[in-house]
Amino acid sequence: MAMRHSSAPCNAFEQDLVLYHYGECSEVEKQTLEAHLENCVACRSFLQELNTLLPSTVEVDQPSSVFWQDYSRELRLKLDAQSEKGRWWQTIAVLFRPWPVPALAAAAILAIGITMMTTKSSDGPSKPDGQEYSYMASNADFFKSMDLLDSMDLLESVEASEAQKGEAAAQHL
Amino acid sequence: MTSRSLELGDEALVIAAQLGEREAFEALVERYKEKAYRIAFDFTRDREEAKDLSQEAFLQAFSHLKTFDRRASFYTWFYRILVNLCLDYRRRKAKVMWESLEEKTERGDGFANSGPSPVEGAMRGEIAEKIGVALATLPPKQRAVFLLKNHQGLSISEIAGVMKSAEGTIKVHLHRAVIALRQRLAELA
Repeated sequence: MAMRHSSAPCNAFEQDLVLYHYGECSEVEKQTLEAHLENCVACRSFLQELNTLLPSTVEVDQPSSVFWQDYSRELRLKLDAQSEKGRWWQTIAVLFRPWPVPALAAAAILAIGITMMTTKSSDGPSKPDGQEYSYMASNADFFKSMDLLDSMDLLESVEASEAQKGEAAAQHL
Repeated sequence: MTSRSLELGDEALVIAAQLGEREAFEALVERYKEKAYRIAFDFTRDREEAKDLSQEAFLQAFSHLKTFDRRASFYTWFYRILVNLCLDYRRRKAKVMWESLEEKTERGDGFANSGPSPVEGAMRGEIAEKIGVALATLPPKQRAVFLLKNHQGLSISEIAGVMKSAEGTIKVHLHRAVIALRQRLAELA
């Protein structure tokens, strides 16, 4: 193995020397490197330099206990503020998230129902064939499948009122 | 904070915190605040900046805790948030310094009274200043790997977890950082 006596370490061992300094070599790498170090002045010198230089780059800051008390207190306040903000957003989200779709759906169903009733009344009373109820039921299934459970009460009340109107029309006949 | 919280392991505390127990999260803060602060200080070398950055990392961890799937350890996940914030801080600071330099150049201001430049500071012969300058010139990933290894003593595999990189890549970054740092310090001597 070629020995070098300059300040630069052997290229083949440079990375391993860095890892060796940090204790990150495998057992095999360590044995190979230690065998090499016995005979290579440049690599020994490089390793010695790393052992001196690298710990000296660490700048230690030791804040007082008052600093740490303030740190925890400040962070608790920031966490409180963040939690409060989170709750505020949740409230807004609860208000807005589930309502637009069911409200629109209910409005659409009402509009369709009213249109159908108006059309039928202008044509004269007719025997209810159940199509409108199945239409409402299919809508109800659709919303149920979308987990819009909040809309169920509203849909049921619309269905009930439509059913009552249908029964009244049938009795009138 | 109860002694029970302080005795629990990280995973138990994370689960409790995910279920909404604020006290559990505060126990994690108490456990990691000094390490978090030291990492941030390594990047910033400024006490107030280090405090703000490490606290911001805890706030981000708190708000995203429900997305943490516990496949990695809490500290790996948390250190990743922190290191990202620190790297972003370095980028923002470099941008501000560059913009400030451009403004001064446009105004034609001299630099005689504008405080010492990093190189001038190093010329004062203060070792800490020289090291700070040398560290600042390292590419961000090399710098992060070097600080986590040399200053914080994390293992290569832990750093690989934090940086989401292969261990071989981390070794290469560490090697390059050490060689570059040695060279910069020799130039500044």
